[in-house]
Amino acid sequence: MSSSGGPQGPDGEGGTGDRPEPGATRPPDGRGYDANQFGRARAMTVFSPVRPWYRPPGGVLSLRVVFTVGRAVTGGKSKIRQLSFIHFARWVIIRRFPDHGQPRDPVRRPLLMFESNYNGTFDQYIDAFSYILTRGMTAIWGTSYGFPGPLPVTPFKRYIRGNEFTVDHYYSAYPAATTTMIKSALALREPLRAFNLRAATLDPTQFAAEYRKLLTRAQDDL
Amino acid sequence: MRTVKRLAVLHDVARTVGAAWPTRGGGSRSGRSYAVTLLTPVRPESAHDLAAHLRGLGRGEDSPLAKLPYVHFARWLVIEQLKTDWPGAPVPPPRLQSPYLLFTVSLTAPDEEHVRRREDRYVERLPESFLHELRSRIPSDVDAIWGHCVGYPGTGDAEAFVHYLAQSQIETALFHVGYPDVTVDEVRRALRLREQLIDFARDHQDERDPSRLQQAYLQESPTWLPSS
Repeated sequence: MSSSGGPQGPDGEGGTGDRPEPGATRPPDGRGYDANQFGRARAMTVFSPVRPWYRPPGGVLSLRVVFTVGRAVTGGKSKIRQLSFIHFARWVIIRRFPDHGQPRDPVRRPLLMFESNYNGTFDQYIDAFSYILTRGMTAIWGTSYGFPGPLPVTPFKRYIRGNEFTVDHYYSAYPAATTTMIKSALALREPLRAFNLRAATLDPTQFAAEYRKLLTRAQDDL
Repeated sequence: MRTVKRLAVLHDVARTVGAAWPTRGGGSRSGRSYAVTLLTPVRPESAHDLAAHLRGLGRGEDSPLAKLPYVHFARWLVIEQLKTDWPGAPVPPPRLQSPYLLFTVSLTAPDEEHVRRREDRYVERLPESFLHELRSRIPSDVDAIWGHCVGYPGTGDAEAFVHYLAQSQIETALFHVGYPDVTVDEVRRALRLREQLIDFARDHQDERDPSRLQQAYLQESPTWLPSS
């Protein structure tokens, strides 16, 4: 088993791949590491059964409306964009299991699957979700059985933990990087390219001033 | 006459709602990014072996998934049974008749503006283009994993293989992409460049003479530019 993951900690640097950070989810299956974590990346996989359409707030029908609105609201206005520690996340409604000849699995209650790839700890993640996306969480998980509401946060964490799965294999293409580091690095590309083109033509004082400006930008997230 | 008008209004409302409704596959794609979500039934007697196999795979660069260039994040998970041991769970609790293998991937396809025919582009052929890539790049790993699943045809027959996994795809309702339309390669190069600039700053932090600083920068920065 390789341990080629990146450094640890929500945003700090240093350390090695598989060692869990303080407060990390403990492995429930006896593995020597937290399987939901690789480097700085963490996996969350949650399945929850959805109430029928005739029970408020309306089951899958209500979810479809919420997700349609969610898809229409993109860019800076989207609240989920404010949660800067999420790389990729998805919500999936499972109304049938693919049929490959196995014993039939009739889905009497649709399942809502949530998966996230994030950095930071489970507690930080759920805290931010609860306080920033309070209404969104209620609109989405309010259709699921047993959802206690996003606030207070402790019962909500218990609910997510109760429905969360530990993955068997988790992969990140850049385990050492947080979303903040990635966004900062991407935003640096153009200014750095422009600076490099002009660096030779600037007088030393100008050069030093612009260099410092660039450096501040690059180190924003350190 | 009034009935006809009412029917026309209803027709318009239905069309408007229909247009806003998520179409099949619509939610799995966001720009050039795509959410693959595959659920395949596992033979009950194989569930433990499959889970053990997945846990034994190399991690990071040693993972077979590292051979797939457009994959940002991915996971495999054997679901033996749903979790229902929490307050408020439905009664009777939902039970699965078979274990299932969940495979999810978050990927971003390359910019293929140069490919003239839109339908030939990787992103337009998803998820099939990705499934073909699974088959061609890591066939033995794929067979060792999905070989535990019911009805799996193997990688030998390309069409049957792609059809099997495409039939296992569940569409995403809402997909969040933290950095839209940026490929894995672009993320890695941007991180590398930022790291090189920071390393330079660290190495020259005591340099107080702007002229010597500029000279050092002009000498060193061309060596890191190829990764930009």
